[in-house]
Amino acid sequence: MARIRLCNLTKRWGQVVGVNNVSIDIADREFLVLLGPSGCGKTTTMRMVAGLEDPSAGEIWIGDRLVNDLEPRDRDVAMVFQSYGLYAHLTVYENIRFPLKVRGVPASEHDARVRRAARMVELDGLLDRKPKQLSGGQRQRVALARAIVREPTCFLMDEPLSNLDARLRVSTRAEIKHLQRTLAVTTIYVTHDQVEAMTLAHRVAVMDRGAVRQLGTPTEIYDDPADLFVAGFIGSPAMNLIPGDVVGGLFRAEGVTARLPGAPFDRPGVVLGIRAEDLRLAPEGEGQIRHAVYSIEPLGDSTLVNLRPGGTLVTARVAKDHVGTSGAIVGLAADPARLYLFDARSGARIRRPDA
Amino acid sequence: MTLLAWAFLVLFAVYSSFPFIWTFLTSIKQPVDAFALPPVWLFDPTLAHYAELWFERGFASYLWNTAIVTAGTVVISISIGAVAGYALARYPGPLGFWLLMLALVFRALPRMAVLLPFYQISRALGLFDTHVLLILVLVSINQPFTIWMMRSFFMTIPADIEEAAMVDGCSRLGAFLRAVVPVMWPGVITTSLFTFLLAYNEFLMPLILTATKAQTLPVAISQFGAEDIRFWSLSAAGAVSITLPIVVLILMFQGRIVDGLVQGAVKG
Amino acid sequence: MTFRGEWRWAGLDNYAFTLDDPDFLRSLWFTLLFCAVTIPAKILIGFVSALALQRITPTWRAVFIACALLPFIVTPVVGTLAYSWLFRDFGIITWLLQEIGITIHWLGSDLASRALVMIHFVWHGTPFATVVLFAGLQSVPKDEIEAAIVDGASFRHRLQAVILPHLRTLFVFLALMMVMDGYRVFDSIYILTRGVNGTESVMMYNYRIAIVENAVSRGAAVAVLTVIGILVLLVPFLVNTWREQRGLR
Repeated sequence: MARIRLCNLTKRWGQVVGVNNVSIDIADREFLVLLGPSGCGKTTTMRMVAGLEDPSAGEIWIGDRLVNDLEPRDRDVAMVFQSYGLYAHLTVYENIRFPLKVRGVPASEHDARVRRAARMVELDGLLDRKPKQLSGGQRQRVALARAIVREPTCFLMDEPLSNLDARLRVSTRAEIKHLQRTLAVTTIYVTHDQVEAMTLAHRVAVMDRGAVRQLGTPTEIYDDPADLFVAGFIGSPAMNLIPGDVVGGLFRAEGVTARLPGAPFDRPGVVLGIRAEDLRLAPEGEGQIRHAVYSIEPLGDSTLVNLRPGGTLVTARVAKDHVGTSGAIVGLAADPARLYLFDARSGARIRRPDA
Repeated sequence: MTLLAWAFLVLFAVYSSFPFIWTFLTSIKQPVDAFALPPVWLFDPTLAHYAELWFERGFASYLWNTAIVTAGTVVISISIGAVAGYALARYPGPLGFWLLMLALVFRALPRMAVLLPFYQISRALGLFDTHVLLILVLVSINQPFTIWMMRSFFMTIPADIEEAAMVDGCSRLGAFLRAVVPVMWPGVITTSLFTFLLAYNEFLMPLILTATKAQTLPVAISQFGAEDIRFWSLSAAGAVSITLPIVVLILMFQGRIVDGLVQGAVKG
Repeated sequence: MTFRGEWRWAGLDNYAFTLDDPDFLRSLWFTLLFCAVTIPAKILIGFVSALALQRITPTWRAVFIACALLPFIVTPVVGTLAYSWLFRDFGIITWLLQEIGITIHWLGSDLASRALVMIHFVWHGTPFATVVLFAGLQSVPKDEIEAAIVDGASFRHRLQAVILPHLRTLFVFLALMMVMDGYRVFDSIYILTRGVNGTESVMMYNYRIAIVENAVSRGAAVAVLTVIGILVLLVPFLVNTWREQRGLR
């Protein structure tokens, strides 16, 4: 039973609150990603689960056990550190074996388990090397193997991919996902990279300044953001966020006029959200957004057209063979159903029951 | 430009090492050659002075004293310093800060300030002129430095590996012993080096706190440096003898010595 | 308080006596002069040698650094003795100077003795500056130097605009360390001149009062005054470390 429950978890250092009343219920075998910018409290939360930090308030349950007062070694969690935390004086083999030795696992089992873990991360030929003889990607896999060898209740991963170069990151990401699904171990994964979150997670907890802003599946987070922060954080390019006012059911800002679905209403101080891929080039004279082209970025598989109405950057993802000129006036159209509305002051999503 | 640099450095090297080279030459010359002016460059070398120094004048006993005092100081200093340095590196609280400050202040104190109290205490406890006294005194005046240095080294060992060890299944002590100790020996070597140098080279403390039984090499040599020219060849031999271990250390550990000297500057 | 165990309260008389004693004031003056002359010299020579070390091939550096380290690492007493033998009345340096027409009796006058002591201290302490500044030079970001070269700066300009600002903290550190060492100079003066001819530093004075003349309480007073002086000098260093320790949290 490897269900993990965080109940009202809080961490305070003097006046500073790092983690603010976080409650998350993680199912057995779930891959949960804690996603957020630096300083949002995601790493601290995970370290509290590991036992490396003591919570100021709240409870942590691993399985049926309340683990608040347990030392890290008694919690049966395995951790992969951002900078790998490998033992420099031991070989790869010994590094992977270390947890087994220290926990008193019968020596007869060591070799088989170490080799099995090493094979899973494709480290077979490197077992006699020392960490400093390995590349970054290889070291990362040693850290993974060391976590796997124990067959723990839970994996904790602290930004394991951030020290790898871009290409390696993509392939290792796929490996981690495959591993987790194969081993079926509950995993808590911390990152600031939303692509990692979207591709790896069963569910994502988006955090900012110590609190969870939204907890949901990647699709939910993407299609139904709970507030401005989540909307702006997820998606690449980021969601277009245009400040303006709603008058008579019509959203108005410089260069933007958009009719909102449902009964007309008035609301000043709002932010309109629309994703780049939901904008298309409008036929002459139409489209909610009309402005001069600021820049065009061909990506190969598509092209980004950037406008700056009223100083706000608006990006549309259009067909890859689009050819345009900077400075030309274009119109962008969006399906009204794909428009999001947020309160400018609180950031909360404005949901309209009849929309 | 590079030529200038070479020229300067050669001059600088000569300027730095000349007194020692000259002393070495003096120590192997016959006295009549040693003090001849203009200086004599071709001569018959002799080891008579060394023989006299070591065998007739019992220089060996000073070496023995120095060895005991230095070894004792290094061992005790490092043991205390490692533990204290580790604690200060890992627990950055206000208490740690004030302890470091205290250490810094003590490090800056002139020897004279503590000399008198040490003298009186040694008399009162009957420890005057003993090895034990010197070890205690040297450990206490050098401890602040040792703690500072070890702390700097521990700060370069990331807390990661200890945490990894704890998650893997070690207790805090276990994590320290299994994950930190194996990687801290470069720091221990460098700190031991400097502690050794401090203890070996110490002059004032042994000068005042010993009389006949526990005198160390630096004190002995200062007594041989008397005005009487006849003793100078002997002193030269003594000087070279004392310097030999240090030259060996410089040759073997030059990199570490430079690192250690620079550390205080970079961290401070 | 005397060694014989009597304890008589002398109050602040010792301090008053000391501060009035012309010998003390002279020793204080000499110590300050000593610092003012030796510290810039050590830093300057150290800096030049560090620059020179940077220019030569790395393989040879080890040799030069080893030579340069000698005066600093070798037992100070030994170093001072070896040094003093060059300057005696029939020492080789004295002789060399005579050959070119200059006769100096190093222990014969205030000026000569003071010069002797100061030259020795510079010889002894420069390696520390050399090593520290050399390490500092290694850590000057190459980017900035290359940007300056591309901008057209001469060596002198590069020195002023890039190198010196980066080494500023090191210079301050060195100055601080040297002030503390210079203030407390004893061993070398004891061996070279025994403190005669106006080479009595504060510590030599302390030694004379406390040990030679056995005026222990006055000696203690001098020691305390010295400590106060050092604490004052330490304040900037303490502030810096406070900031550093704070940063750990």
